[in-house]
Amino acid sequence: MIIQFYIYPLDWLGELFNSFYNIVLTFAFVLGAISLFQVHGKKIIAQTSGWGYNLVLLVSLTVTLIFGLFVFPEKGQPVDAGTAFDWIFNNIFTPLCSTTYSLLAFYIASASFRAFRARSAQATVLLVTAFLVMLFRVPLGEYIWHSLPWVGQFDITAFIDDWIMGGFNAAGQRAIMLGASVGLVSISLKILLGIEVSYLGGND
Amino acid sequence: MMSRYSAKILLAVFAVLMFWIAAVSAQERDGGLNEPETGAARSGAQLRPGLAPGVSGGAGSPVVFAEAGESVCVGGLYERPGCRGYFSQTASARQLILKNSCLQSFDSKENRISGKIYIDGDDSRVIAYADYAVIKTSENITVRSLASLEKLWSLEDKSLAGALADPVFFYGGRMAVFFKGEDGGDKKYKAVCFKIDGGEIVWQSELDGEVLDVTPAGDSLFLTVRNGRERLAALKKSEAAVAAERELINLRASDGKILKRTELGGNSSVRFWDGKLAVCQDDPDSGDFLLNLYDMNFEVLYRKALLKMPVFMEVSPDSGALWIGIADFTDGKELTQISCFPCGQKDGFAEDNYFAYGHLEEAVFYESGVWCFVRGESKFATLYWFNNKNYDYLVDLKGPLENFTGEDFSAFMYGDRLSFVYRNEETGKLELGVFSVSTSELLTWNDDNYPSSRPLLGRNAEIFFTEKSVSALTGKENDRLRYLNTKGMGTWFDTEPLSGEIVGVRVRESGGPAEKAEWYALTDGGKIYRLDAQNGSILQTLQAGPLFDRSKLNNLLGVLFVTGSIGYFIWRARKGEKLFIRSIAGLGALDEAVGRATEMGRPIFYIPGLSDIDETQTMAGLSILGHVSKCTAEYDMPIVVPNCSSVVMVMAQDIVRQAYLQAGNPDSYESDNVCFLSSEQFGFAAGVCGMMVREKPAAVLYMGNFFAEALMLAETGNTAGAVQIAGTAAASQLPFFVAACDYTLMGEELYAASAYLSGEPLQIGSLKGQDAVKAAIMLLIAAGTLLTCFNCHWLDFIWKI
Repeated sequence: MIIQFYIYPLDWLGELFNSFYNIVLTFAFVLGAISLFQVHGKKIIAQTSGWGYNLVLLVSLTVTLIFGLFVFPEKGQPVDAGTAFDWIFNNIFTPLCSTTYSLLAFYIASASFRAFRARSAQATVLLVTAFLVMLFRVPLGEYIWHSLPWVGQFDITAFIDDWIMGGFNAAGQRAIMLGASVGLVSISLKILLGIEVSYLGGND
Repeated sequence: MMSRYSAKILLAVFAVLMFWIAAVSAQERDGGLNEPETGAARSGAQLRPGLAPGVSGGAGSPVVFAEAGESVCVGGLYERPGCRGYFSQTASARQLILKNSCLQSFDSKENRISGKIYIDGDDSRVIAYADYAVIKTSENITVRSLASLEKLWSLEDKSLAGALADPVFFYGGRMAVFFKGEDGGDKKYKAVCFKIDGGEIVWQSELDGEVLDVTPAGDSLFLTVRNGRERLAALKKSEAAVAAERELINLRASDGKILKRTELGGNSSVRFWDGKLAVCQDDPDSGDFLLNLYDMNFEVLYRKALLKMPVFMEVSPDSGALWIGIADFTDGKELTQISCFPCGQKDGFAEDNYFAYGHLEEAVFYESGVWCFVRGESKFATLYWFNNKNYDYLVDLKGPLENFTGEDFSAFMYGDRLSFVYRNEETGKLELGVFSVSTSELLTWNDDNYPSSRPLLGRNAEIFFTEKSVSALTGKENDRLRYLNTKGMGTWFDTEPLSGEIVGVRVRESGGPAEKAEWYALTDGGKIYRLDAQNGSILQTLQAGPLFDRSKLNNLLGVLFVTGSIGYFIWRARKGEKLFIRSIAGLGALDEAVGRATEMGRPIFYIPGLSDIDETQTMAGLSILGHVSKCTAEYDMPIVVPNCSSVVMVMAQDIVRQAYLQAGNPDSYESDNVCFLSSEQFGFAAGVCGMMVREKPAAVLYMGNFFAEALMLAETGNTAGAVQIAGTAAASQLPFFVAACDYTLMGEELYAASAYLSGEPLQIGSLKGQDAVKAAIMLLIAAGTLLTCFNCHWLDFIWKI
């Protein structure tokens, strides 16, 4: 894989190994489904508390599987646009995902509430910076800024973009990314050399 | 033992890799890479430019660009990221527009690469004129030998480099270049004429503004110049109230003397027609759109008012008639007015006017007339035929051109057949149509392989026409050149399979019958194939592109440096040297978290992230899972590992099972605790959150790659009252973990965790190696910052490797 990355005509090697991985992945999906049936089936049989939810999960899984694998339309595949599987995806699955995602707004609010408490000098700097970024990166903040009589020609948006986001924030992020990249090469090398084997469940 | 052998094997692989790269580089420098396949091929094919003059091929990678003696110049090889190449024909030369590409000269007799240069950065134009390759950027022009690409001279050498206007004009062994650069603080526009051979300046002439267009006529060059002065024009019909003024300048080509000039207004188009100058322009005074017929001294011979500025104005190559197309609207519908002005008129402009309802997509000249493809409101096009004999007829292309879009439309005339390619709006694929002029019918296909009346060429197909009767087609979805021999109408052939994906095709005709035509096809592996047009067999194969992807050389050097550093410290650790590493608070807290869970009698949750096992963060996370599960096994505590990936689940099950086995507690292991939840992001997040709320874990560990669900999980864990330790290299999710978790391993700390927890000397050595590399990076950053502040760019070579 390393050689094919640098040697142009060998790129087929990369594609070949990727296709091996995809084949393994496909079989592993079956294992995943079996795991789901095992875990939730046991709970339904034992009728543990909330076993109804487990039942809903397994019924949903089975119905979607049947529609996705076996119910062929007149023309095309079971997963094509306009099929029952497509309807389930668009009208049940996607709204559920969107609903879960939208909950993030409330989580951000509660996390911000805890994070932005001026308990120390550093926390105060964080609080002030966050306040500036959150307020003045939206049109309303810009409007408020320009309505202040004493701001003159000072462009707060440019200050936030160029200094806070493009300067301090970008520098911090890049430092983390640089360190992570070096760490990535290191752990890859250790795995290749067989120094790091604990992900296989053993030390040697 | 295993590690020692692995290290040796890896070193051996790197040594072989380096040797190979060195060998390949040396071979490329020597111009090697010969691979003749037939005796006929070896005898020396006279390669010639692929397309007929005035014909432009589809966008893509041109193969045969121009020739000089036994050599051909090949451009647009895909050696750099973002490589782009377009072929086009200017009034005076054939040109390539290249970006991040490679230009090679190939000696077809010796069958070797005789020259190679890289075209970096922004669009550069490579223009073939005689035996020269002229490479133009926005600031400089370099003249090279087409045969060897050896540099002959450049504007920089003559201290003349500066901002250049777009046109470069060639005539009689000379090259006219137009400057728009700064000179002594004042904007100075000028035209400079060089002898292409040696670069001697023949004449210089100062201008008032930037040259936009050059029209040759007799001994004069007619320059359209934007003089930079803006004024309020009384433009009655133009939407723009302010227009930059233009001038038309008659410049004597022999000595650069300006003979005459006249104002043009804000828009203009100039053609040399019937011994006169036909100029479409808006009148500077009235704002009317005019077609003026000038003599060489800009005396108006005839003037005609136009409805609007023409969308096209061309001179027919056969009849010499001037054709003008104007887009207009009537009753809210688009209307194209086509006007023809025949040659040899004495009393002004006698014209024939025709009307076509719709938008003019393409006009193709044929004999004394023009075929026009017009797209109306419906999803099909209409083909109109106009000539100056006062008759016209139209062909309804409703059948074959259903779902027609103007996108990627091109048409070409050969013999009495009109071929056109268009993109089907519904399928997104390119389709081909052929119209027979002699029988006035659309030809249909009878090949068994293509039973549809419209052959589908694939989404990325390209089509190449020649002047005679051969069309070649290629789809990027296969490795064969698919072509149509139009003499045997409707029969399609596939060539022999080529190695790699076809990225460019050119066609050459030897001047004889169409069957003697040859194709040149370039594949993404950098191979050029010469193919017999009659049977599609491969005549010659040439490796033009490089084996080693040179654009990744700096990447390779970086990896070798990091690898060498880590290897060195591992070697030191192996020798028994004690190496110091700093403590990481988050990792120290792992044991504390397990202890807390034991005291509280609640489970530990371990989330290995959302990514699959091909993500290194997941691997790092699983390494930490090994350590944590050992601790939980020793304390006989349950550990719950919900998974988003089934492959990760299987590995995690094995790790946890092993840990319980090693701790002598195999009966406490419950396989259901390491389970698969969902491969969908929010399905997984909802599942984990539900489990946390129900089971109230004492500790939650997040180790791996996370996305938008990171905060959702961390906040739920926080609400459940768990001690939370997170580790990720996903920079965008780190702030969320920092806000919601007790400890956070940032970036590299996640990767270092396994080494830190194991405490093995070899692992510690790798950590020290990482630190050394980081120190080197910090030094480079500091040095780079300082040097840049003092306007020194010594370190820039790193990016240019």
